[in-house]
Amino acid sequence: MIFSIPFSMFAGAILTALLGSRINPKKIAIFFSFLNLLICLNLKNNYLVEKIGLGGWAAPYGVELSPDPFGLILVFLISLLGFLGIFYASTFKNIGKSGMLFFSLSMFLLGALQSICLSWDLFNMYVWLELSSICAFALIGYKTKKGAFAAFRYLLTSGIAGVLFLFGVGFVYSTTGTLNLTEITNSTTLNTTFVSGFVLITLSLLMKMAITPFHFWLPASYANSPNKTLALIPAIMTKAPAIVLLRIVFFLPTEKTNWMINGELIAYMGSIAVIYGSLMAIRQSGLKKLLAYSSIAQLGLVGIAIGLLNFQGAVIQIIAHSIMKFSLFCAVGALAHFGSITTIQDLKKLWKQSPMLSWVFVICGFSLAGIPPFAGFFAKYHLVAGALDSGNLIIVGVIVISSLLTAGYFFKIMEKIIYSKHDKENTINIPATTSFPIMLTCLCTILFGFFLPGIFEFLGVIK
Amino acid sequence: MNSIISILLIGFMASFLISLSGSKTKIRNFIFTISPFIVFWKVLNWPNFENVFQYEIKNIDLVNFGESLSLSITNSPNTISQVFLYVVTFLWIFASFYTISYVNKNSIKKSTRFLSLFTLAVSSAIGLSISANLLTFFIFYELLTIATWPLVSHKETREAIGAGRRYLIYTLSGASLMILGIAIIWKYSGNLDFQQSRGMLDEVPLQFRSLTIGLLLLGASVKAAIVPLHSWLPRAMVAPTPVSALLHAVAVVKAGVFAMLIMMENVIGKNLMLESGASKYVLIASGITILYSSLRACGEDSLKKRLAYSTIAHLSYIIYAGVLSVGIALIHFVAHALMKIVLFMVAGMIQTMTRKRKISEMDGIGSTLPKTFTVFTVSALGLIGLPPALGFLSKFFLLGWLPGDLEFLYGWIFVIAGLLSGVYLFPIIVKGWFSTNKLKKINEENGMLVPMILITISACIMTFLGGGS
Repeated sequence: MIFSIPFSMFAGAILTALLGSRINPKKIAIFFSFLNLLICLNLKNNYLVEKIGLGGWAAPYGVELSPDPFGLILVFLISLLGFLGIFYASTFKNIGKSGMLFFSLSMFLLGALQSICLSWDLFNMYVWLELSSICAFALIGYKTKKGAFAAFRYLLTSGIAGVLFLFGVGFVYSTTGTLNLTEITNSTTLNTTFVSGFVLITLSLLMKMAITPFHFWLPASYANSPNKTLALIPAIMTKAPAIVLLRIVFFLPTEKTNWMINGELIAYMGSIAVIYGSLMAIRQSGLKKLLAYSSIAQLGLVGIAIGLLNFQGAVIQIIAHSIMKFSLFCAVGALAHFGSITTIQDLKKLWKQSPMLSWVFVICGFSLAGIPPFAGFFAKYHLVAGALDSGNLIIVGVIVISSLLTAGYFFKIMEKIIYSKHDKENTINIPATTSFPIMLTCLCTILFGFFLPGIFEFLGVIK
Repeated sequence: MNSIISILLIGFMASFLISLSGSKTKIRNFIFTISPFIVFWKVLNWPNFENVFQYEIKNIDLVNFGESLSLSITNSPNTISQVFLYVVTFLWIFASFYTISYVNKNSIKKSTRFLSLFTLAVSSAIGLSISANLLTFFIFYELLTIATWPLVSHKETREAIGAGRRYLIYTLSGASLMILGIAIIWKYSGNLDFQQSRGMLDEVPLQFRSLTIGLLLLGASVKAAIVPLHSWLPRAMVAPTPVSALLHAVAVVKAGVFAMLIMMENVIGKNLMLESGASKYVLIASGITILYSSLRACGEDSLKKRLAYSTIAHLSYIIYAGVLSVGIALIHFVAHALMKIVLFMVAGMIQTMTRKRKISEMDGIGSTLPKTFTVFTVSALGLIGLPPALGFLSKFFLLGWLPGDLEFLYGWIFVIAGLLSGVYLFPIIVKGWFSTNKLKKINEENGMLVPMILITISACIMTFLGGGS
């Protein structure tokens, strides 16, 4: 049952809010997100590619959910990383009963993100996008003073993006008379209103994806959000808009998306994001900021793939980046929380303080820099292959340079970790439960190649 | 277990076990020295090497990455790969003993990491030689880069870290060019296997062909240290001597040369090399490299750096010969590996025993370390092209083969380069033996001495056997 996926998250969220004062909210949250993961795992074996009308109402009238491969892969990813993220957050010490609100919000966020990936209806997408950005807003500013301003900035941006999306939906509805993606695809209308509707929608999605020049909200809100949210927000939040964009580009017939594809506008914006993000990341000394700028660059790569209609590349880049960044952000969060390590300078004792997390930095760094045989290599490889397909050599060059720049800022971190005096240091006590999600995702980064044929097979259903 | 997979896995497992061994030095050293023996024994017993043509060519897929990409090794590597495999595994045995004594004598810090990465680097070189497709080749090529990086910077001084950084910048840039070329081939032909490789570029459209050739050759030439992409190598000499010896005279740089040869022979193919004019460019580039680095070698005072420049010259020598005839290139491939490793080992020995690094300080070193310096003399003479060591044979073949086929200028490069290697190596020998200041004899460390002597002896034997390949 496809509804049960987001439903289990929402049920968990509501129950956490209601019963959180009596039962430990951690337990409810972990239980329901695990339930969600189980449902997703079960779905993987017998999923349906047929679309499902919510409440029995079929397509033109009812709200439709569509388990297409793009969406399902991302739903599964969100489910897995969401479970791990909630598990990770639950191990932080001072989370006690006030965690009720935190877990409730997190689960609302996850449910909304999953719904975005499943919905097949523009207005529905809008609703879930808004819900996700409201939850994210609350989480970014959750009980921190520094986060408040960043959260406000995020709220403004996502608010504007939301309004743009709504306008776009209105435009499209006024010309086609429907909001269902299939119906829109089949309708023959193609006029200025229709196109400008999709321009607005695309613009809004690009703002949410933080593609340059709409990236301004991202670094501050990632860097200032509390450590326990680092698992949830950076790794997956920006990926759901990417999937919506991918779907719009993919399913609308090419004559309707000409304006987007022919100019390769999104690809060029992505390229600028890649270069800008990488160059800014080199200049950072704070770990969270560095990772945030690196995220901008990596999302730029997603943008490139979408702009060049390279779906394999886009999906693999999204998955690989989510996994790697989850591991890295969680590691940084754990270090900041348990060892008050926040800058690159502080990392010089890390090898003795926490060898496991040092390995995470080294492996995920290699992976981000596109060094085989880790996850990032395959993402880069398929991105390059897709860019070669389009014959756009400038963008090929950008992708290659981006991996060198990534190597530039990550090897700086590795040098700090590896080449420094390793005297006897007190180890930082990071609970095994906290490092479990980090290690698991790091392992996924190493073994990513094993999953690739499965992913390709899954994507192949669509063609 | 399948013997081919085990050749690959033993090294990686050894590296892993060493890294786990912690402070148990005896176990660690035992693993470090025993694994090359096992690997070499396995390589000698390779079922297919004797009669490649009778066996069915079979690729073993270790991991499948989807879309006809896979990590796979082959049970019947071509001649170039076989020679590379033999050289690396053979010299690894001696280098491991040398390394253990070097580490003990010089009390190297963080030695577990050092030994573990050393094993990892050699294992990646082995993987390189038995890879069945270009992607596998690339993966091991990169693994070799990463494994060598901490070895280059092992001393952790500012200079060493800078050298490591430069090494990474050069090799990673080269690798990204190479992967671009590989991606182009994959996109058009959908297959990266070496076995069907006689025309791997046939399906690439004409307008991309020369681009692809350029990317592949440029990517490979970084590790082969062709001027102007060479400057990482002399700097990397800050690494401890075993690294310079096995990795920067044999495994890493030879991997670059190996990549060049594979690209020229198997991926691009002889005909296309000629048609596109690439072979001409390679000849010119390597010719310039030979002359430039031989001259630079004459001006270096640090022994290791002089040897490094000599290495650069000889690598290009092999590539230069490879464009003309792969057979002769391979003989020099072996010869240079055998002799250069000994020269580096001697440099390490001198440094360990007398703390001398510069050639100007080495007056009368022959009387201080007589056995070591005898070995040095024999190998150096071989490198110049004089009997009895193997270098004599390869130069002899080169010069004997050349004049019939080539323009005047091309042939002369060999002669000049041979003379120049005389210019930069003879003074050391002369200074070492015929010096007025007689110094006291120092007891030479056997653990370091014996491997060098054995390698030199085998180099001399190979001369009489006619090259081995």
